[in-house]
Amino acid sequence: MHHIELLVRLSVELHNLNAQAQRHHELSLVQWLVLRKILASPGISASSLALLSGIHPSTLTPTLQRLEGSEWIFMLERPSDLRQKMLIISQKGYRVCVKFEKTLRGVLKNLDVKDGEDPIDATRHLTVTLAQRLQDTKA
Amino acid sequence: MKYLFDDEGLRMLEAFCYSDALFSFDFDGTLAPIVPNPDDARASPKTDDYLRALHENASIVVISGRSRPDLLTRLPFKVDFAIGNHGLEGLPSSTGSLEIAADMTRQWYEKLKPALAKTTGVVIENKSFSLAVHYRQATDKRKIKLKLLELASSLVPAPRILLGKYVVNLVASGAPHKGVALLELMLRTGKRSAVYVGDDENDEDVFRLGEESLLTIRVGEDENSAALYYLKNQAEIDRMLRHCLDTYKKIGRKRSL
Repeated sequence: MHHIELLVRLSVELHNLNAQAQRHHELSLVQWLVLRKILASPGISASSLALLSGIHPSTLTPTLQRLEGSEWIFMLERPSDLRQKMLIISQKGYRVCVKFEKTLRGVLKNLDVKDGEDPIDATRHLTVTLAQRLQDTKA
Repeated sequence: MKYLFDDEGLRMLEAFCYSDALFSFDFDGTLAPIVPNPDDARASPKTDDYLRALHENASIVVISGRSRPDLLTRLPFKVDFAIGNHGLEGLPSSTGSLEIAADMTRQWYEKLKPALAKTTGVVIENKSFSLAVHYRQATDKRKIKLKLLELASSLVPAPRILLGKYVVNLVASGAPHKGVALLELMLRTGKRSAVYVGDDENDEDVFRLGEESLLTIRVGEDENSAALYYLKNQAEIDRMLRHCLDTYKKIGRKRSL
């Protein structure tokens, strides 16, 4: 039961981490992941993106709509099949993504993960530390 | 097929620049204008300059129907990969295919040379691993094209026939084509996206790949082409290269290969 309890707490901490990122750095971690995949694979379809990112289509659709609303991505019709949409990053989205990754790299520096620690507990501690650091480095 | 310089096309091109894509080009009719004598084909000094500048930002590949040694003499600098003979020559994995292609080419040449000896305006270019039969100088081009196609169909072993602008190319069937070459080079360079620009029937091997992260651009609009976007003419290659350079300048990034 101890592990289950840790997993639930990890889930809560991940949720907090996501919220901290969105509150202080414009992007949630999920939005960042989606943006990053679209940057690396311009022209990708939503279904391929769902597979590549491991995000369920029902979660992905509103995320894409939000990114499009912020003009960080464009959804274009594929000239060879107008029913299909191609996802590409905009210049604005590219800049947001690069800036956020710079922040993440700074936050990840010198993280203290103890050897022999329970892996789930260690991950939870890591998540808490990341959330705290994201808050400390407000954009 | 949409025009590359419409808003959507430009956004696509910029997104591929952000993604650190592999830039790949055909040579004749794409980087260099088509000229009456293929030996005279050269990219303009301006195109060479833009290409050189692009190389400071991105990896560049040229995949041509010419033999690789011939292609290398026409490129202004050492590109990351120069592939000849429609995707066969210069590809790291194609050593075995080269021997087979050379043997087939020799057999076709021995049969075609006497058969076309008295046909005026026709030149057989032996590129060691494939043949290009040019008929640009022929008076009745339609009649000559039909004759060439009949001759090509009678060859044993049967070649893959690729039609170009007043040229019939005979290539070993089953050998790697331009599409295979590009996919292999993407894997070798670790690139997940690529831009390809071509103008000819044999470039359709790339256009038809249908990969999502492949931006395909044809020089000249053609509703039968599988390319996603088109340039109105060869001269627009400079505008395309310049737009890529402007995009790289805006984001201040240099190549990562």
